[in-house]
Amino acid sequence: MAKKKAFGFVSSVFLFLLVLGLCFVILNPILKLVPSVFSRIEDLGNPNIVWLPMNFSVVSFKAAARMIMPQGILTMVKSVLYAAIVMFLQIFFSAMAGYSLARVDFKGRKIVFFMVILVFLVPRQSLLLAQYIYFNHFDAFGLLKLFVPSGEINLIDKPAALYILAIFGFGVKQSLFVLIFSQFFKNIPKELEEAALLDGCGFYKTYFKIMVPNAVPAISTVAVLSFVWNFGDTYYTRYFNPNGAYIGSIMAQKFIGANKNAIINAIQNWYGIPTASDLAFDAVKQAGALIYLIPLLIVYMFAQKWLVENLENSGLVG
Amino acid sequence: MIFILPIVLGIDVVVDMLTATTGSELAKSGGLFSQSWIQMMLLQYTSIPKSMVMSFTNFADNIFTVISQVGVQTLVYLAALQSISPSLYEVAKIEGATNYEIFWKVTIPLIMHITMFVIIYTIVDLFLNSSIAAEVYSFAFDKNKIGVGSALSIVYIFNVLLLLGIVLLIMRKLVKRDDK
Repeated sequence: MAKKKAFGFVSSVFLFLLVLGLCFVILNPILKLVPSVFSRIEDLGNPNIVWLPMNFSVVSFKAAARMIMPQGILTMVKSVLYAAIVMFLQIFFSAMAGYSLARVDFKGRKIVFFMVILVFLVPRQSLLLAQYIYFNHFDAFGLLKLFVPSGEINLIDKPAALYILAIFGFGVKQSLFVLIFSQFFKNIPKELEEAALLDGCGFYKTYFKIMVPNAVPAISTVAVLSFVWNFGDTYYTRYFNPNGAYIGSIMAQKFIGANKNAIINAIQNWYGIPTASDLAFDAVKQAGALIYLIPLLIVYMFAQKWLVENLENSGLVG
Repeated sequence: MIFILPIVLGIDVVVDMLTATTGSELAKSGGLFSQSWIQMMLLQYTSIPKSMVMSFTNFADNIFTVISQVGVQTLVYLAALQSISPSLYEVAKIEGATNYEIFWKVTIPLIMHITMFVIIYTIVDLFLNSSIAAEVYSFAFDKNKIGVGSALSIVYIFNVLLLLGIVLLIMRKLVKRDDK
């Protein structure tokens, strides 16, 4: 009995150390940039500073905020709103697509399944030219002739192009979400559907009232993934809406190596520190990255609370 | 649940931003292990052959690279594990199964559907972030040879499909199919 207890104790200590080690490895990048981001710009490059700043100051954050948020806090709000709208569109349409792939037996189902994997497989750069030309002369199968005399509109540089991509399944890694939903709907037993049929539900009522509440774990997974990827999407936003207010792509365009001297000059002029150097550029860049990460961390904390709550009520609902 | 952080931190934008331009690569905590005293101790005071110590160091240095690619799979597995009804676990406990047996006989077979999906996702994602895909992209857009780039991308797709087909054929034996 004592041997079993000792073994249990040793194994729990071992597991604790393992998890602690993994957490340290994951948090290491953030821990390493705390001293350079939170110290004054004159103190950067001081070899005595290893883990904690000597004099606490938020100058880097102010400089970064001025540079990456040209419209103030509105830029951040617009980016979050864009990511949230695309997230809802993606969840709604991917769930419907996943359900029909899993439950509805139509001719050519295997071909469509294969094509979903193919959409996921093809690198999106190969579709870029075709999509750009199509959105440049967007004519919606000739229906726009009723509204606009020339019959086509230019959708580049308007967010509508990105929403259309999300609706039709070509958002960022969206076929992945379709596959996730199809696997989840396959795992729900058929008896629920038959019971719903006996109670008189049609096809749509079964879907909205019974299947969707059962797939809440899948919906929360897809929501977290979709929000994180769309908030940091530089590829689609740069090609289809280059002048929009998306914090990810603004940051990626401003903090490149070619702008280094311009940014260092700006720091010297705004805050009167003539000794700013390359390290100041690094500190402001990292402060910008931390500002960008704030909404993601908030979403992640909500998602964690929701996921852990679901863990306690796991199992089938209803 | 710090394990979701690598998805957040692994996005290209964030990795670029967190890298310092003064030389050290910040986002990868690699190099920590090989600079530490553990490796020297292993080499000098134990008689483990040098190639083994080097390969072990290589593995420990790249833990962050592995973990940063594992976030999506963790989330999907978490959601899949929640959808197993607890009545199955109660039945297994009543029948007198130990925790080890419950894991292998109850949990793993119910996850096989999701495992197949995770395998597809991992293979395709690794190919998309590899040097092959970067080469295809550079042919098409940097060197302005769009014809060669398109041909390259079609050959790339065929190869990945072949690999996926082989892997799925092997996995088909393990997945329990209950649709007739």
